[in-house]
Amino acid sequence: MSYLRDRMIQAIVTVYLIVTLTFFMNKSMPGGPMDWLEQDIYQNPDLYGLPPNPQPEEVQEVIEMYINIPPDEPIHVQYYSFMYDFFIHQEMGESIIVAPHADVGDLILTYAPWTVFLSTIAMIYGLVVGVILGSLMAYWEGSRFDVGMTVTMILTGGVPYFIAAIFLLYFFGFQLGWFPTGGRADPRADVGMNLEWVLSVFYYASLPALSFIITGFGGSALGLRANSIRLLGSEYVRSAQLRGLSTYRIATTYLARNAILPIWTGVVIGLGGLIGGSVIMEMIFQYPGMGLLMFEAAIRRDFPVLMGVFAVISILFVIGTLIADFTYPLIDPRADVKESREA
Amino acid sequence: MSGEDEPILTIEDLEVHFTEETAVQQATPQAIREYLGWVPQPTKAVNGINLEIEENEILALIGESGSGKTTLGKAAIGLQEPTKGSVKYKGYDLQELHKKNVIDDMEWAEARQGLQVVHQDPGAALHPYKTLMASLQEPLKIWYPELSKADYRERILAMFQECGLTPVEEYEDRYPHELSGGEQQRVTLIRAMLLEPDLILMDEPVSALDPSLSIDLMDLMLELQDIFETSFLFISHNLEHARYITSQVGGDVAVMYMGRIVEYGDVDEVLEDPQHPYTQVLKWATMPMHPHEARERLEADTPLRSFESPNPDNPPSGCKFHPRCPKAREICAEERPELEEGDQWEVACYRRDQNHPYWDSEWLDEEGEMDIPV
Amino acid sequence: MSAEATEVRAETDNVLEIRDARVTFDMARGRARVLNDISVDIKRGETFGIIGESGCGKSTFGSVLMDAVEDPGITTGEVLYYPEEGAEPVDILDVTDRQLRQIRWEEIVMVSQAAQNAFNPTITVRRHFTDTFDAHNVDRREGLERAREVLEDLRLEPERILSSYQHELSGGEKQRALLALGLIFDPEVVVLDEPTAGLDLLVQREILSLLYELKEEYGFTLLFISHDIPMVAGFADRLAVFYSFNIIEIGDIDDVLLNPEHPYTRLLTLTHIDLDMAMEDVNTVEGETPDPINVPSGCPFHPRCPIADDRCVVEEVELRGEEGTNHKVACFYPDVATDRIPIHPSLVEGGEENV
Repeated sequence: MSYLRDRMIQAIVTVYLIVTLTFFMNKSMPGGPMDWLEQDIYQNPDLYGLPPNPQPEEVQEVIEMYINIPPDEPIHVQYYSFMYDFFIHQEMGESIIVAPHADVGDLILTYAPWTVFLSTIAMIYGLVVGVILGSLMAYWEGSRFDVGMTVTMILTGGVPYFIAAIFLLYFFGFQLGWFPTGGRADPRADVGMNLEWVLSVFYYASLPALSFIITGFGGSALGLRANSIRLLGSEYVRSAQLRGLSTYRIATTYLARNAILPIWTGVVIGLGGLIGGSVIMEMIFQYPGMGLLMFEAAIRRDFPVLMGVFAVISILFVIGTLIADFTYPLIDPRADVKESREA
Repeated sequence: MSGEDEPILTIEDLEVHFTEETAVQQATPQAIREYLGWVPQPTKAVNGINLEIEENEILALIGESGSGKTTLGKAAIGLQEPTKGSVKYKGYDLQELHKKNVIDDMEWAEARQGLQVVHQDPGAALHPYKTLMASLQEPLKIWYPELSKADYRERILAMFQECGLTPVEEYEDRYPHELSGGEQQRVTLIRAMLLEPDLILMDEPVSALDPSLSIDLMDLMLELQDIFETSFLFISHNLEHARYITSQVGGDVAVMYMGRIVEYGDVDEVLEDPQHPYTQVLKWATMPMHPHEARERLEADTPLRSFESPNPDNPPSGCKFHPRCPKAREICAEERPELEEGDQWEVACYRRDQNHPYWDSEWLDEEGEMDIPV
Repeated sequence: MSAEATEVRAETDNVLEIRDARVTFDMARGRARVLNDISVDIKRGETFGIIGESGCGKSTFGSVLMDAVEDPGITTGEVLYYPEEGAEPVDILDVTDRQLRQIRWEEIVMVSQAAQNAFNPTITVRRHFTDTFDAHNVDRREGLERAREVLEDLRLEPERILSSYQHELSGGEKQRALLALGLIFDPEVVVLDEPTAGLDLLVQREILSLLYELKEEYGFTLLFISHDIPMVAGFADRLAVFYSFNIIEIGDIDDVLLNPEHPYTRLLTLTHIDLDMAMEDVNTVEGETPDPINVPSGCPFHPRCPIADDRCVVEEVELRGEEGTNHKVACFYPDVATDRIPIHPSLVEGGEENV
């Protein structure tokens, strides 16, 4: 328990530091957001709704609106104001270009869920299938099943997901017409938690999810298989065999459960990356999500959005690591060990 | 404080305590910790040991798990920092030497080279992905950098020859997993011996081997001991091994229980007529080979009063052995007997002295004294 | 080399009859034979001790009894199991997978070298029990009640042990828990392979006592495999000595230990270090244990045998013994051995030195 409390403290400190870093990047980077914005406003005041030759106060107001840092105040006031807005109000400034005057936080919240949804489906399917297949393959090492699956997995794993995506799109979307060719949900259905809409969301996500799953499931399966094979000779596996346990039981409770331990941490840490999604996938399927948002913001130098996304994704990684640490003892009972030190 | 006539190791009032703490607890200042009550009780793994090991001497240390023998061993060769007391190498305190690097003309490096170790599990002690030659050259490269590779090879092959790993050319390029357990243990022994140390700590080195192989290995150790005049600190829970390794050179044996030495003396004498009840129980537990004797032993009652193993986190009062001791009386639960010489040799038990008030104290067990058939 | 079965009288109730059990596997260097056509009968209810050095085939023999030799080993021969006196035997090496899964653990149980790693580190001890119950169609609740009884017989606190993970238990507790797991279905045959290896002295002693008691109480047939003679000396009714993947001596324990006839057995007794004997009397058996790929011709012990002659180099020798005794030895010259090779002083009646 004390180990976990330590980790919480560490996580909180890290998050705090991330946001502080964001503040300084905004403010102090040469050519960074504040400087650039200031310059741009003076050069193109009309884009910002200001008269030509604007007054310094007006410029500062505009900057503050977008970046959330009052420009002329002393640094500790700026710092306090920025942090306060971030943590208490979740305000990260406003988008300049991508969606002018839209609150960055709102913007992220609009796009993120779609990406998270897609990535999560892909991840869960890939993981579950991968784990089951991986353990069975390990248990039947060398059999035709094992060899066949390995070959399949290597082949599918070697295909870049966007190739698979294009292929699926062409074949099942355009040629056969079984799946929609773009979009996130049925445009005719009313948005909301009604059955029709929800079903259409899943329907529209099918092809993108499938592209990820088909090309991705092999990785976790092969990883788990390798780990499991290492454990095959273990005394406890042999003991389980001697006790007459079924293949399935051994493969899951005795092999997979132990083999998954190193993989679990990787998975959970990767949770933080789910929100990033994939630009390419979103473009192929016209599936507006975080990927597209970040892309747009990046090309068009929409700093507030970029900074906001940076902060959010970093924090999510920290949360992901924290969840990994908290859940690891649930699957590995040996993990809740205190350090024994000399007095 | 010269190093010439001093014993190799002088251990004085050694104590090693362990506590379970988290990183944050450690980082917090002492005052706040006390306020919050974050001061856990330390476990005293080693609780007051005094020992001397001279040159060319073998000391057997007998103890079970939890007795602190491994911790004592590590502290003796400088791998474990003492909490209290000191460990001196040829008169120089090891911890001080480590910090200052040089004291008078003794260097920390010299002490480090002079104190080596052989562990119980050779499979774990040898690098699985290095050939024997590569593994064995490593210490040589560190300590004798001025020699050439050919020199190293020569030395190593000579040791192979000496230790029965022949034909030597075949063993050079082998990997540890290609050797049998006995051969692996020879390699770890060679590795320790290559540096011609003053003392080798051997922590249960033959416990994992067959009787025949253990004898072979112990014979080899004795041969090498003879040639190089190295001292051994031989840790074991097996009385027979302890006897074998020390008896032929007239060595001593120390019996450890819960962090302290409870009996110390010449190995033949102690094992023939043990004075401390714990040593007697150990002797009782050593099964004989004669089928009738063995059967008798098996059918007899256990002389221990309780089956519970001692808990180092919550040690008993008085004499640590009293809850299990078949000869325990009330006085044993009150006051702990020191390790002192009785009629025979040093024993930490009141029974050593015929005139001690122990003999007038009440038995702890209603049934009175239990016999230890030995 | 094939050996005659030990003498079986009509009234003897055998629980296991092993015939020509052989285990081979192919290595890069050649074909290794790690068990060499062993034939032996195990009587119901006896304690059968098996002695030998590492790598002599004794553990493999234990595995054969459950058809549990690890891949890529190939087992041939017959292992006839008689579930009850007078019942029809079943060849364990020849049953279906399903039958094998039933026989394993319900009829025959093997507890391997010190239980230190026999438990799955991520599940509780209770889970091990319930998994086993599921695999054998036993109701979990009933099973756990029985488990608690057995754990108590082994002097363990049932609740604490059941809810522990293996890393929370000491070596002795783990070994006893594993024994409890083995006894849970009241098996006919229990095979113990070095059950005390790696454990502290007092813990070893306690486990031996427990085993002795439990055998009386539960009444199973016990096969006790060890490389340490004292472990089996007090227990065993009969003793078999393994060398080079064969049984080279077998008989009642008193015969084999007090009057060993095979040179190897005699020399082996000398490797025991007694607390009372003179250290010079301790001896090892000179030479190396045989390589399974390259077993010596004739009698496999001849390279290390002090009394071997030309006949021993050339001719194979089978277990033979006098009529009317159970004591068999695979040697041409047991009398010479008895004359010329000393045995351990503690085994000599009256303590006289055997010249």
